[in-house]
Amino acid sequence: MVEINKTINESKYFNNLSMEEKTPILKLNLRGKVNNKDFTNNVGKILGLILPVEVGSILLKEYLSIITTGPNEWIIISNNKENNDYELENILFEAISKNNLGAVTNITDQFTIFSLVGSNALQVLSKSSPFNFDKLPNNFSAQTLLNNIDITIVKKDKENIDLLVRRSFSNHLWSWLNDSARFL
Amino acid sequence: MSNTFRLTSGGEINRAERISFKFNGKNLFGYKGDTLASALLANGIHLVGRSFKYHRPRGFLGSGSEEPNAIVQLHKDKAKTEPNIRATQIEIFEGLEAKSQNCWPSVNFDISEINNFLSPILPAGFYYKTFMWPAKFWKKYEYFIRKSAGLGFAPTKRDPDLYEHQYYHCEVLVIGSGPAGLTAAMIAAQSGKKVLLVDEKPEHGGSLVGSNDQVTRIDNKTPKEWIQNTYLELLKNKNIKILNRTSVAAYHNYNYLIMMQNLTDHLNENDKKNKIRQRLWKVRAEKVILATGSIERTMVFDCNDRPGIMLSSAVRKYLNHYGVKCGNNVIIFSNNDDAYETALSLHDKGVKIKAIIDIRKESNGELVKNCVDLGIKIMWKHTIVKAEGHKRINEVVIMKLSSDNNSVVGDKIKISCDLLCVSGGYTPAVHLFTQSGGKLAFDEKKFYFYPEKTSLDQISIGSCSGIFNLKKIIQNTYIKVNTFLKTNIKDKTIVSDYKSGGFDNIWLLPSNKISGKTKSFIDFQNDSTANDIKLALREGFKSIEHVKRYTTTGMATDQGKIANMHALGIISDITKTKMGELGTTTFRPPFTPLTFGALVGRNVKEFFDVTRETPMHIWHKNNGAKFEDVGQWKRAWYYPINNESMYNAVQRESKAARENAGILDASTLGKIDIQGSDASEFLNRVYTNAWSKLGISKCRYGLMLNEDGMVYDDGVTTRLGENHYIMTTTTGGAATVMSKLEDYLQTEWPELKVFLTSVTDHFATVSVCGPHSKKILEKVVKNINFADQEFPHMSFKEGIIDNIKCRVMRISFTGELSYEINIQANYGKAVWEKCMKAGKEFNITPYGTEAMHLLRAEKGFVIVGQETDGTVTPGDLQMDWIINKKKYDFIGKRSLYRSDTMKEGRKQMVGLLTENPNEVLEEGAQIVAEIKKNPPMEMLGHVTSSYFSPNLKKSIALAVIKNGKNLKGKKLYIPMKKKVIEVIVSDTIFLDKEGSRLNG
Repeated sequence: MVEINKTINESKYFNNLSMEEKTPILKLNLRGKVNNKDFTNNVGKILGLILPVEVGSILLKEYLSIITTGPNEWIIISNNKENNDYELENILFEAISKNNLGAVTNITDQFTIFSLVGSNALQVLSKSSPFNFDKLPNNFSAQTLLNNIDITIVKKDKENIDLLVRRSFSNHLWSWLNDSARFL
Repeated sequence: MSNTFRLTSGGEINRAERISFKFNGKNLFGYKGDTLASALLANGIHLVGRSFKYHRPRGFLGSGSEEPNAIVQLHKDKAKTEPNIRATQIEIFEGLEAKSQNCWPSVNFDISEINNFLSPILPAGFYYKTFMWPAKFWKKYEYFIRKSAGLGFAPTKRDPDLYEHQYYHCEVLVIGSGPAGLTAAMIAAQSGKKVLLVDEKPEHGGSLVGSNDQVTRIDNKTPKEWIQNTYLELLKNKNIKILNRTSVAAYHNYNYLIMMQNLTDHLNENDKKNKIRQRLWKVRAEKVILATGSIERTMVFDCNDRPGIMLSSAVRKYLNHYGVKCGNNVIIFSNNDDAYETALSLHDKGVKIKAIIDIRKESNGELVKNCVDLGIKIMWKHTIVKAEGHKRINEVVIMKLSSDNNSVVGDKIKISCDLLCVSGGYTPAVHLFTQSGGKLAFDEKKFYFYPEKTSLDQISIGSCSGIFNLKKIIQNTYIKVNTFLKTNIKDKTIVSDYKSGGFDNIWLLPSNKISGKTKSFIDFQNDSTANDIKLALREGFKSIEHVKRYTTTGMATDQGKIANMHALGIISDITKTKMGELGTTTFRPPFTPLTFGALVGRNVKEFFDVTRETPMHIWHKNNGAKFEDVGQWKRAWYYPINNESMYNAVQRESKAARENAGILDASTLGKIDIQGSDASEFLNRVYTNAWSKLGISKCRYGLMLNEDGMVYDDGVTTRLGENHYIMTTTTGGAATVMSKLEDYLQTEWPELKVFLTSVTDHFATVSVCGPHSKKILEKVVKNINFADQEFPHMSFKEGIIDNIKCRVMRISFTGELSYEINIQANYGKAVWEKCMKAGKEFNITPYGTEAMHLLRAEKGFVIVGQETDGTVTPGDLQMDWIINKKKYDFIGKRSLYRSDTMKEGRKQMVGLLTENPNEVLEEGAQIVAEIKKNPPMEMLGHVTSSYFSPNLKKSIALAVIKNGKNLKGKKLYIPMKKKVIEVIVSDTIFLDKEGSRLNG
């Protein structure tokens, strides 16, 4: 079996903040026009939901989460940690990509997800991100810069944050987070 | 020295905590809560520095950030030493060492004081006129000018302290925690808004700090009690953050403000360890309330810069807040009632007041009456014409003012003293308001500029808005803040304040001497005098901005805190222009100086720049790779073995790749997933060649141009399905290409049904090349038939490695038989190791980017950014074959048919072979057709890539040369510093022109 190699293999604890890398799980990038009913209907049927359209909004289901990252773009993240099954990719690819309704692309390893938990979760981000987290509702996401690195922040609540960062930047960002968190 | 000037009781210092420090090498002590200034004054030290130009002895003028004289060098340590720190702002700590600046050998005896005697020949702007001739002497002048320029010494070692940045968003930002600021913060906090209250001082209270308890009462409490009460009430609100020791440095548009918070400067060395020294706050506020207070003015008379001449409010603060009397025999010189509060405080503490000199005719203020009742001598309608003393004031010369205030009359009266308190009224601190773009108006009766118009959501309250009476300040704050925040918090404050008399103003006090014989300082920090202003006007400088630059008034860290008003006033008086019409100079950020450390924050060392790592990075590191920066990526450059040199390592790696097998980490190449029914048409428009007929599972090289027809990027794109492609880009171009293509889709070609997704980070790319690469791949990817007819060059197959899907492309950037495995990044390292293991029997050798460059140069493949520089067309690269002229359009097509891009003789890419095969050219070296004895020589072009090829056993190079296409076989020359190298223009492909190696 080919050995899987996470970018970060440690959990860290600071003053009111714990950080770790989430287990790599299936992530799909979905692109299509929301005014194309064939696209939205097909996606809706396969996923059993109505695609959110407000950019930044997040739809949380038991088995997956959908982040609306643009007016015609979504990231679908499996919530099934144990069964990292790519069947969903195939079904969506056949229904959407093959029928020229949109594009389904596997981006599982494109992003590393850091989980930040604790009352200082947003505080550490504000050491380098100009984003106003007061204006970011729970279960909403924002694309911004952290230490000059593109990130997507998923705010579940103010003490539970997921950070999506491109894999190649993850080590650098992890070092920066560790450095900044020690001064909390 | 002991604290002989410390009162036996009183003040807010902690007398139980004695702190030792050194000043100019002397051991001294103060108490916790002292500033360096208060501690020095307690020790009877007034002489703390020398002025910039004339090296005149200088002492303390103020007690805060307005201080122009007492700027000192802190710390002896070469890394931590810091120049130009205001002694009035430094809180003392155990072990503090400070010394005077701009003096040698000591502040008591400064040789450069000779400048003071030469001052008649050193007026404003003398350096603009003096050093013009003879021209050849400039270098000599420059040496001395540079030596005498600047104040203090910069650290010579790396700053060991830690700094950080903090972004903050709030609904209401209140700047200044004086009576107005505290009141405004309370209103805002009670309304439930998210409030940030900042003050540059360690304590809150602003002008109330150090005020006379007997004079002012708020809600029947002393000012100190009221401040403490209000502060504690504010802390009960969870929606407020209060920062002290935080100075707002800059106020930008859209209510964006930069502040610096001092966190540890006041702590002992042990308590500072591993803590952030300063934090730079970047604040976005919905609403800003400026309560920045006002700055007391000095008075302008002859020798008004003597040590021992201090602002009246500062003397009061030292007395009441720090328990320090600044002198024993005091004279007060004023034009308003505020100085009488100082007189009362001094009298209360038993300090002898020899006289109050007031330029006014009279005053009916309550404080004046109190002074009269106490028997303090007041000399109405008098002025000081000169202060005597050298290193400390010892006498003032007083004369009566004429009825029109334009001259002095009568006899000189001399009174000895050791302290002169001056009060020339107050100037609203409008610096931040003007930084934000606010417009000022001038009150011709009260002689100050006040905030008038702003386009931002902000208000000014308190004395910075031109209100100086405490009762009115509180009342006005409630009215203004309630309106501003749309709140309705009732004003229940009871203020018992004194009734104040009038105010009279003379910008330049008259003297019994002609002005040329006086030295009346306006800007203490820059040694600008009233005579300098007059000179500037005589020489034709009318605009205040020009006068400022000519005389250096209000420049450097003063930024108009002390100097500007008098300069403006004198100009106004002489030119008979209204001050409001003159306007002010620009108050520039920072309001108080910022350290470089705070500006940089944690963006130092490993955080100086962002780095990207491939999934195999740790393998490269563990195997001794040297890395090079490619964009933000850390790419394995070469893998030295046993202290091998870079040259030897690259030669070995290149040879191994041709003779056996080489393995390269190509994960950094940009990868874009392209899907949609118009994907082929999209590629037709993006690349110069045709894509519609590319078969599924086939790969093709493409060249992307900019709109100007110049080469922009290149890479291999693979057709994965009917409407599905994967494009690769250069490493450095990945983000910009993705952005450009998305931009075109959204703005130029919205009709195309195409969707792009970046997958650069999703895939790790392992490139295996060399004669044995096929055998290695067969061992690693077992479900693929690697036979040439099944899997030819420029084709693709899906594979599986231990149940994990991968994509294998047979493409080559080395000219060798070569395969690229693309697999999910998290498996990249494992697959790399599998390839290494499988290739062990074939002596597989990891090679880095340097060997890759050499290998592709042997084959004549271009690198965008190395052979190209934004001015190179495909034709210039001798790649006309890649342009499909039949296509309707592609990005840059039109530009290829411009006369300039089509003309003969453009710089074109060629190969170069040296006459001496062992001579390796320098990249960037210029090429000429003929050698002349002396330059200039016409330069035909330059070398773009150059290596010694271990496979060809000779030096090879690529170059761009004018008319290069037609110069094949011609001898050219490369003039170097010590020799001339002869080269022959050759074909760009040096190895395997027919392509037999890559075709297997």
